[in-house]
Amino acid sequence: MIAAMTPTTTKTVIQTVDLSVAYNGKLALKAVNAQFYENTVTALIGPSGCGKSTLLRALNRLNDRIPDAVTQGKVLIDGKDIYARGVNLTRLRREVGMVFQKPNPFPMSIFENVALGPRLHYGLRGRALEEIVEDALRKAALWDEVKDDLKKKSGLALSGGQQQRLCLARMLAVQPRILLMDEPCSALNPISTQEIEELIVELGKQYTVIVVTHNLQQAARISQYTGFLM
Amino acid sequence: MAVKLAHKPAEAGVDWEALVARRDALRLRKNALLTTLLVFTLLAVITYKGASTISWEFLTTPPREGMSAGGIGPMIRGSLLLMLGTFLLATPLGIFGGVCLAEYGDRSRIRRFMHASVAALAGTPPIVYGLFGLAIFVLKFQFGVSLLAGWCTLTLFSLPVIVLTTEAALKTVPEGIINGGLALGLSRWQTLWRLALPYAMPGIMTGVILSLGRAAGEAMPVLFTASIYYASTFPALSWESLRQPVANLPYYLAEGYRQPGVVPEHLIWGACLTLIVLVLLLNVGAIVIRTRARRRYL
Amino acid sequence: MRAPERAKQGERFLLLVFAMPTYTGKTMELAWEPDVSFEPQFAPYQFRLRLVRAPEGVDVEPIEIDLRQHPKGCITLPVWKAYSQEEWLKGYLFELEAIPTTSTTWATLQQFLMSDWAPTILYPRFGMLPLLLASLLITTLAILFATPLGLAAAVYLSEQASPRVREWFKPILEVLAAIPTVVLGYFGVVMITPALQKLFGEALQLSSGRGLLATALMMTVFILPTIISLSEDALRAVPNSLREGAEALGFTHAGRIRLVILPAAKSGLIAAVLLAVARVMGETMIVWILSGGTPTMPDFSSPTAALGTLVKPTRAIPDTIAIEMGNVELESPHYGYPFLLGLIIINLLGFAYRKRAQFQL
Repeated sequence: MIAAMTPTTTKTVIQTVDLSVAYNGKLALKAVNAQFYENTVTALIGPSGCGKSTLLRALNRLNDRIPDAVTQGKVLIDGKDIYARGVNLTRLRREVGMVFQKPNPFPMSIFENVALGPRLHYGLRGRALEEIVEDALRKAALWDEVKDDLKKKSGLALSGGQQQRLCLARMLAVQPRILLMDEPCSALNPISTQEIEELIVELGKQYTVIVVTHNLQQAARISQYTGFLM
Repeated sequence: MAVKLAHKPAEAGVDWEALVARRDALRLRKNALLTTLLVFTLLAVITYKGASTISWEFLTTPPREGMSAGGIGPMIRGSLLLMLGTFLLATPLGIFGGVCLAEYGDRSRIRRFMHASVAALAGTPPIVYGLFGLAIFVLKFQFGVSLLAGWCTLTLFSLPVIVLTTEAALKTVPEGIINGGLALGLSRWQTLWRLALPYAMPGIMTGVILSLGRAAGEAMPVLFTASIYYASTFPALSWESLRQPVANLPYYLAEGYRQPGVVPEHLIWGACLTLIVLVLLLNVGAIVIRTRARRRYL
Repeated sequence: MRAPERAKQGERFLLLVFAMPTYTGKTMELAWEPDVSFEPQFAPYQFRLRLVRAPEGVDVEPIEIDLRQHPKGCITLPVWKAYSQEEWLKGYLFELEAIPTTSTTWATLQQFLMSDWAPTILYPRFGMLPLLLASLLITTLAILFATPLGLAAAVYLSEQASPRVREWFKPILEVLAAIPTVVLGYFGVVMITPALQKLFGEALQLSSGRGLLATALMMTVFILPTIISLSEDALRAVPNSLREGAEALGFTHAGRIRLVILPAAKSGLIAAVLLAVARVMGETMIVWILSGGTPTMPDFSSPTAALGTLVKPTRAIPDTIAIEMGNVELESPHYGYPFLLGLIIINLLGFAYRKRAQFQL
């Protein structure tokens, strides 16, 4: 498997060194060396089953959850290996946010969905919490649609596109620097897809964004760099 | 080699195959209908036999004249007391056990073994719990035949079912929710406590209520550990009463049988009906919780 | 003479023999016979009676009697009268010795299997074969009644019934499963035993309809929900592709069920039945109320005897535990037996569950 990257002068935030992941003894990702740059959008494309999602999940160590997944090699974030001993997983995941293929809002109100992270991580409450929730919802372009019944409406009562933006807002509220998105539009209709794409372009100005997609046009529309896995 | 046809081709005129299929279908349905009929007969007979006895006085006053008259107030109160303590003890323990089984069961062989053990305990007949409670709580820990020993025995009795339903309910939590929580940087414990447990709670409560209902109707676990037959006063809840036996409905019925002629038949049937209503109320509660939860998440 | 039921190894009991001053004979007789409940062939001890000391001035041959060989007998002794309490103590002094026989375990086992159950008489007997057989018979009958009915209902529910019927049926099953067993027992007393008595009462001189058959019928009701819901789970676990495959081969509905779905769900169905077996074996209240409470050896030598076995009172293991537990004195050896029976039940259960796990994994 080869990851081709165009070298530039921008600062490298994430670097993988010979990263291999095996499930059940079967290699899903073989010696990937890749670089991801600060405040840019990188798209990962490739045929299905080539390990795009595996690579993404290796970047915030979500693969650890799978009992027989074995990871080898290094993932350096700001030069520090996240697979080293003693790495605080929750701190890592706070820094590296993730949005999944299928929107997965928690079964609670919209406000609670977004507030959960900052409340648990930073102990925020009251006015400060409301501000951070509003800020996150604005960044995810959802504020205007939901501000009226923020605390009454369940996150599950939103439409598919809104749910995905809620998940984005939920992630942003934790103040990450790196955003991982695993085919964030694949479960959405074209209109919602367009909204999310615009959002990704917007977020790319402030965050390091890595998007897995199976759609070449989408990759071209949203990303400055493209990694091709096969 | 001769080939034997399993099904003869349909003859012209009558579609035998369709008729046979129809007959088979009816034969099968008959069994389900029979079971339904059985349930309604059971309920109807007991209601018919017991309904005339039920009155406010019967439900609230203690027995009189050496158990041969009066009501079953102390028995109802005793059953409720037993349920209360069992609920308070078994719910946290059972949920804790279920969480351990679901969360910390990565090593599959140990997990499978533990799961099989709990499943075996869930099917162990009540009398074994009764004997165990007698040996351990009544004799070894010297609780005596008491409310406390009854609580402990009934807790053990209802624990496996709660553990299993908790584990099953936690398994129904969508992977997406867990992943979402972890990706937000929540710890495993926070994910469990804030996301998985609330999601699974209706399922867990259904299990808790169902197992309480089972415990409420069983005479065997309390037979040797907590029961007293002659009760002319109401049991109170105090430190002293913890060490004293209580009257309760299942034991009243069991003793009523063992000493024929002492308790008149209409009292027995009234108590039967009361016990069934108590247990069915718990079941209806469980069904309501389940239906409402299903509506909420679908 | 009462043989010590709790005789420990080589324990000795001393026996004083003397005549009252009013006695006028020249000789006196010392006679012994066993209690009606004593069965020498099962006795784990050999009892020996030996003369330790004769009173002063009386001349007798040494005496030593093996009570196992002579369970009943009499010896004649020269009379010796005692006039005061001090003199009583100077009478004939016999020693009764309990010597464990070499085959104690064997004797216990033999008694366990071959004797009858009479724990409260002078020489208690703990032969539990009748109880065990009654338990096994009840279980067999209940499973024979409940399995076809429950399995067919389960097949109907999983293969034919519409989702709406299924939704309705589930709570009904839950209600049946929730009915306390005490209540089921009483239900049997009003619905089943009078019917049985009406049918066979005159021919067999029944005092009530309580017995194996009544118990087994109520047990059928008791395990029906278990069998139905567990078999339905097993049937639903059969992948749909198998059903579609069978349909594509042109099987009829019945053929599909019999040739494809039932074999595919076999292990789950066996587990369901085994679980039901375990539940019936351990269920106490129903047997207690409906069995009649008299230990009886099943007898299938003639049709009449077999019918009698089915409808006459009997007693199984669980209700024995419940009954004995109520009136044993703690710490007596008798106290241990209910526990022993409990252990046997648990072992049987363990067996059933191991099988079940094997089928599932």
